[in-house]
Amino acid sequence: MKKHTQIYNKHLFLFLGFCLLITTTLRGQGSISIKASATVVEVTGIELVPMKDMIVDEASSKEGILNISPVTDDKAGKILVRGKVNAQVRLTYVRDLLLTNSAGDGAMIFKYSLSGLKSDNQGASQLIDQVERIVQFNEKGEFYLWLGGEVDLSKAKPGSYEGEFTIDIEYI
Amino acid sequence: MGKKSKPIFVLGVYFLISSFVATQAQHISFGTWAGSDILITTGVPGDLNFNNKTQVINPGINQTVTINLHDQEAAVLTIEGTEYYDVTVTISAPPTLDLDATNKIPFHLRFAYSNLNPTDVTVAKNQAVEVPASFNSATFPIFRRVNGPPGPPPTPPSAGYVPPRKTAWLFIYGSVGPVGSVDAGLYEGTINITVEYTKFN
Repeated sequence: MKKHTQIYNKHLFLFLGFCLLITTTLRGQGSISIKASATVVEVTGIELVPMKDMIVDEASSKEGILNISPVTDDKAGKILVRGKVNAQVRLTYVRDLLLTNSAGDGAMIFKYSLSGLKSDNQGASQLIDQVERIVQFNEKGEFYLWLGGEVDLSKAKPGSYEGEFTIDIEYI
Repeated sequence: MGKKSKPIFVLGVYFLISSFVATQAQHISFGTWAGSDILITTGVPGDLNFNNKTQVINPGINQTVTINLHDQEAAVLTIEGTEYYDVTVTISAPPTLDLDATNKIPFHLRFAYSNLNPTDVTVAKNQAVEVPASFNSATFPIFRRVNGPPGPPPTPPSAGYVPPRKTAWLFIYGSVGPVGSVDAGLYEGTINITVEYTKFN
């Protein structure tokens, strides 16, 4: 009888010990899951994203000449070019643009100037002073362009002048 | 002569014992008696999205995209718990992000913790401790005191007493790649984070 009680007590002790073990393991714990993701895309085309229009303000002209530097002027336009990562492209643009007066007679020549860089840093951008230039996209498949220019407003007749800037970009 | 040297010997033994006592460290496992009150919350961003760092991820050019601790794309979590406990954070992450069974991109996870009770994410990142690469577990106090002597032992839990709580921050970041020649699509993996009060016994 005594032996039976001892065995019973031992089993009870083991059982209580097991319960204690389970309790200490589960207490004071929390867990959460988060996602890690990456979307891989095959980019074949080239996308031009206008990010900022060029601001042509007559009040900024000196002796009738308005000059907007693509490197230093905050009135310069900004374009983001997207394509294949690290790919080289040939970039060509028409420098002289004829602006016509939509309100009547008159026209004037706008001489574009362009600068570009792999990163979004206008002050460090390099002038693209030839009409054809080979540049390279960065590791994100991006290239930034800034657009400025020069125009003689001294002989311009009053009116609204319009024109389009054309740039060609192709993989080489 | 013999009487004089005895007190010096006793004094010497006393200093010897004192110096032994002074160098012994005590480790009291308060976490053993902790309640299940750990609160883990995701911040902004709550996930690790590598396209937020690099918009265009291309196949076939061995591109690697890395999100670092101080990048705004690192995932943010907070751990709230009783301030005088240590916690053990265990993170399990897959070795690859997968599109399907055959299209996989290598994934390397890193994490860091910040436990000086920072006020915002910027302060938290500046004070963060980066856990070395390839480690998947770290133990640290929820609230690390900057300096000063240790405080008194914490008040034992009892009815009507709410122990003070603090928040530690956890940052998950890492790299994916080289991408290799894989199919286009969404590559995903699940990162499991477990936090528990540390028990040293």
